[in-house]
Amino acid sequence: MIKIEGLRKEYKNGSLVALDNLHLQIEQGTVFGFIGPNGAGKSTTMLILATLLTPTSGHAEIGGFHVVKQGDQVRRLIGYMPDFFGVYDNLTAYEYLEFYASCYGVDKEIQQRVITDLLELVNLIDKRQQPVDGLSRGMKQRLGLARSLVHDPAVLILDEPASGLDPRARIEFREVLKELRSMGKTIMISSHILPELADLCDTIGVMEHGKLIASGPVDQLIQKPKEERLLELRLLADQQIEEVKELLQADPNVQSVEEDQEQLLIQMVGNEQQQADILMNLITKEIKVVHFAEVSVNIEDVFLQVTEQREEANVNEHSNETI
Amino acid sequence: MSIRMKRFKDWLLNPVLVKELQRRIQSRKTPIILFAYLIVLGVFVFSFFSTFDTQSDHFDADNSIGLFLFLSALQLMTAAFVLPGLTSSMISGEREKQTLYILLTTNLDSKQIVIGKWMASLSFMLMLFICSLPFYVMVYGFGGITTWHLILVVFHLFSTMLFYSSLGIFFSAWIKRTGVATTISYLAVFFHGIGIAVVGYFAFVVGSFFTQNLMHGNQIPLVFELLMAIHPVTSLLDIFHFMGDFDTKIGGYIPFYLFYILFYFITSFALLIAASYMMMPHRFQWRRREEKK
Ligand SMILES: Nc1ncnc2c1ncn2[C@@H]1O[C@H](COP(=O)(O)OP(=O)(O)OP(=O)(O)O)[C@@H](O)[C@H]1O
Ligand SMILES: [Mg+2]
Repeated sequence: MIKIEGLRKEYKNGSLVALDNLHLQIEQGTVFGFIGPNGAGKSTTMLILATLLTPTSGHAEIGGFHVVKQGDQVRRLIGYMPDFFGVYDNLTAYEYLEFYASCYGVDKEIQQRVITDLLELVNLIDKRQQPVDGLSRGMKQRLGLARSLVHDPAVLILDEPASGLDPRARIEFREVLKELRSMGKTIMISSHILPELADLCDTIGVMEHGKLIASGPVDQLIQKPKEERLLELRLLADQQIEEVKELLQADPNVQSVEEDQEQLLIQMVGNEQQQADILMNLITKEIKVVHFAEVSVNIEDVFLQVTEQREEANVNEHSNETI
Repeated sequence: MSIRMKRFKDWLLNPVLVKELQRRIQSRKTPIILFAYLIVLGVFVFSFFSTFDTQSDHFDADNSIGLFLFLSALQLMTAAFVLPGLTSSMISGEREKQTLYILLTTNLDSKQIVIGKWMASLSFMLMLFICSLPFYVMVYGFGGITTWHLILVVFHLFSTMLFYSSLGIFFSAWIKRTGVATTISYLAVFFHGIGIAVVGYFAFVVGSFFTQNLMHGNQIPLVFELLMAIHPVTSLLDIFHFMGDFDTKIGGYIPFYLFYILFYFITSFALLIAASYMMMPHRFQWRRREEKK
């Protein structure tokens, strides 16, 4: 549905490269999470897709339409929600949506139904006669989402839609997005916060310094580093730590063993089978294990790990290839 | 109505225009401006009447024309005060409120947005004008003014209004800050009213240095004539041939009135095109940096 090839965007006459040879593909009906630190170029990418910014070079298309040359068709196809947006102070929530529905050329006859449905979807139906500038940040954000949906677009481009929301509003927002996903919309959503996206997205792209440094299905991205495992091992107090250490180090799958306060930290390579083998080995040697567990790697660690590796690689060899 | 006509109508009467009009109507400022305007107009007109010779029961045609011109000048001044203020915030205001981006991702194109805002400001001005019609009727009733004069003056006024509102919209699209855009719009209008006259005066003085019998020959520099043609007052006087003596004597390369109308129609059109160009996406590239400051 969305295809980006070799996209490049320079600011300030080329002295600042915001996007550098970006490749990206988003399939129809999937939710794509766009993650990256500040200044990575997420908003820039989204602005280009929303036809609000022309790229320096490269190609981007949505639903087969070129974002620069066929802007009209692209705009009809997408609902865009900017990272910051304002509302007109003299309109009520209903009038606000009505105005944009007219701007999108939605038929007058169906407007009322569409708007009511949308207000229900984002849970603002009881606020429909309230002036929009009196709404709270979270409500405005939801109203903004409703606004981006008035013309029933197939693609949603949401730039940090959950920023500035309290945890509760975040969860509510996510529920709305899940509902949209079930309606079959293609959604591109950006965030700094990974856990927020993890259970919502089908695929995730990690961006840094204008490049996509990792992308793929969420579970794959989280799985990958799991071939490397970190295990915690705690023994009954009277056990011979040194002996156990030697025993562990003899295992070919174990890379290193370190003492960490009362426990041992085992760095190993392998799958669950090999992990189980280690424990079995210990037990057959009659070593009394109190605690043996994998230290869970969460998605944020993955993110940090991926971006750190990238940083090191950059420093070491100025490599340009994307991972 | 053909399909093409309907399309054009839909294009022209777009939601932006409708919303701006609604806002004008709902605004509490509107009746205040209207009231103040009518009072000022009324005070001027009636004080003008009181200077007339009330003993003799006929009005001098010249008096009547004078009052008529005075009324028109007052209208021009109103346009000069109201329109820049009204229009110069229209695009930059959307930008500052961060609503422009959203508007540009809808089906509206930038020309529609510009035209919608422009027509909204003009219709407000038109409303002021219509409310002042009774005064015109009064002056018209005293005679001395032909219907033709009336049409010409109204046309002149409209072209000036078109120009002032396009000017405001242009600066509003070009300059990011509303405050700056407003200031520059007023300065531009001020220059249009006063500046051109001053420059024209100096052109005249300098010109008369080089040519002795300026008023009797055909030696007036073309520049001076051009300046008079694009000035709102001198071109207006041309309707009643107050400048007649002058422009026949100086050769009259340019018919002031006609030139004025044409010049400002074309300029307004160009300004509007430029404004819609200025608000197109590629122009935004500086915006975000500012936002982050
Ligand atoms: N209008 C602009 N002019 C100059 N530089 C810009 C402009 N907009 C963005 N940049 C630069 O381009 C880079 C990418 O910015 P962008 O806003 O796309 O990042 P982002 O990933 O959205 O960051 P954030 O998480 O803070 O929203 C940054 O270095 C930024 O300073
Ligand atoms: Mg951003």
